[in-house]
Amino acid sequence: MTIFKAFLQILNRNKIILILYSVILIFFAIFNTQNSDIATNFESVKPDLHIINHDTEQGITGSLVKYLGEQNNIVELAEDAESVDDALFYRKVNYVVEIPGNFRADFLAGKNPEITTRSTGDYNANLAEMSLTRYLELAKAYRLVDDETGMLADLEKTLATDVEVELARQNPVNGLERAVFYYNFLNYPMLAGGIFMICLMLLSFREQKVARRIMVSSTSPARVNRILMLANGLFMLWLWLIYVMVSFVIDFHAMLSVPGLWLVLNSGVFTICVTALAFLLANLVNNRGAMNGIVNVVALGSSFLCGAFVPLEWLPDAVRNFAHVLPSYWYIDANEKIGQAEEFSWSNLAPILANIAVVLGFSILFVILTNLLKYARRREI
Amino acid sequence: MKHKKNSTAKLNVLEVTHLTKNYREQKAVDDLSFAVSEGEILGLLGPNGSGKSTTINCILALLKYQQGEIRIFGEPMTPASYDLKRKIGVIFQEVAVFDELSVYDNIDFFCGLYITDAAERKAKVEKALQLVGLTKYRKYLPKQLSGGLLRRLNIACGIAHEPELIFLDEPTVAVDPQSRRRILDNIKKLRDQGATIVYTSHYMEEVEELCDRIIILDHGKIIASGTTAELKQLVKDRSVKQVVGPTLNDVFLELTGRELRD
Repeated sequence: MTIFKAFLQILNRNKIILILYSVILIFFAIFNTQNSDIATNFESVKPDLHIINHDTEQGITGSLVKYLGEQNNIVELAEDAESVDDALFYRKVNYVVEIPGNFRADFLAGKNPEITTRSTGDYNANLAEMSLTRYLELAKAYRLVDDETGMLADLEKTLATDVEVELARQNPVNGLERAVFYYNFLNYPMLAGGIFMICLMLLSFREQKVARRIMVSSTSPARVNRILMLANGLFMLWLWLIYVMVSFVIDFHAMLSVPGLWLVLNSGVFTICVTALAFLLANLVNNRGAMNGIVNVVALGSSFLCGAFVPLEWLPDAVRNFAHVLPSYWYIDANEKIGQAEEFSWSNLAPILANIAVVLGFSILFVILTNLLKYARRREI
Repeated sequence: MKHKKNSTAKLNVLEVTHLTKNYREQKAVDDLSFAVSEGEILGLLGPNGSGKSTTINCILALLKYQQGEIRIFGEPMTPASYDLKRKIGVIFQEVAVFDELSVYDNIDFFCGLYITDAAERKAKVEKALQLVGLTKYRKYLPKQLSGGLLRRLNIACGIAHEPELIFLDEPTVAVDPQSRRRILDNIKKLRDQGATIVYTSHYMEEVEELCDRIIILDHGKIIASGTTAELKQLVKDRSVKQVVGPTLNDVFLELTGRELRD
């Protein structure tokens, strides 16, 4: 029991770092929850625009009014200056375009009649201005090579070109947006906290001078190791349970659903993998300075490369391909798949289970490597 | 301590017979044989690299050796001799404690490696705290202690379980005279309580004051052994120049030479 007690006391002395990792996790989870846009499709923004048209003719003038109407929401206002001022002040419109009389005739004559504009100066006003500028610049270009009929035909053809927008990232469809983000981000505190504490603990007990004292005692080193493994396992279980409880606090209803519980299961398997990895790393490092470096490289590196901080879809193909060799990738990918599953049929479950199996495979690999390393390093003190 | 000093029937607590330990081609310990009887303080002296630490590590089953036999309380000592190890206390030269644990918790931890009963352990930890004079520092962390207090904590961690055979490897290195005095007094108390002690040090006056018998090692071999008086006589007898009233330091330098060691 004294070994377990010492473990808890060392844990207690380093609780601040654990609390720090947890606070970062919770802060980002809540921050993301407040700022999450659920983008399931793309729709272009239409600014509110008012047109004052003093030109009674059609042709280029009619075409311009039509185009601005397609690109913006046309807001009708009383024609007096006060109404326009009020509309701009209260943001009923973002942009006001005033087409001068004789615009068509002047434009076709090669002049550049001045179109008066007023703006709220915001993002939407800029969009409205861009649509006006685009039309006029194209019209000026086509005016040089064609008559009005040809120019309008060319303009219509050019301006009708749509840009195809493809959503690189699919958001969760089953109400798990916050939960998926939380469990993806969990990759970082789990790796950083788990590796830090297990390495610190094992380094404390394996420090040569302390290890020698244990070796000359009447407690076998094998027993000390067994107790330490048990204590570290219990610590990781406790850490995982805390993080799972926080996820229930953040989004109770989503977490109580079937996909929510799959997220919990997936994180549980990942916790096993982190524990195995931490034991491997604890056997590789031999001082606390190196330990801090390894914690940062492994936890931050995995989190960036595998999509814990930014979605994988935003990363270059080479990075995504490399991420396949890290367990975090399979864990986060499983979270995403759980978020996409509308129902938990076998066809949906199979790829999730495959990811979980890969994470378990990594755990087994880490255990084998740890034992090989121990065997290679078994030497006299 | 269970064994009280008894001058009439002395059992050999430690017996080392023909011990040989090689590091590749180099002989660290060369056919070494000696015994330590119950209640005795044996001083193990030798220059750096003479084989003192290797000998102690072999005795404690921390090192494998090529030849020889080591018996403690009449039984062969192996890495799995846990019943024997219960009777042994070791104070290494380096302070070996947990930085994160308090003085009390450190002693409790190392005592707990020998004694599982909580009540018995508590009593022994208190006794050890008292013996080394750390009672009022029980809640301090090691980093809050001075060098001398740390050395005393190191000793308390090694003897809290009240061993019958104690190995002290240079326990007074880098401590002030007051702390050294305290540590030497503690060792005498342990001896008075019946413990058998194997003591290594480079401070000759300590060895002269504490040890009943001294073994001087060099190049892994015993080059002289006996009481302080016997060793002094030995030097007097073999010196060409008559040495008047040699100190133990003179004896040591005469026997091991004056050239620097690596």
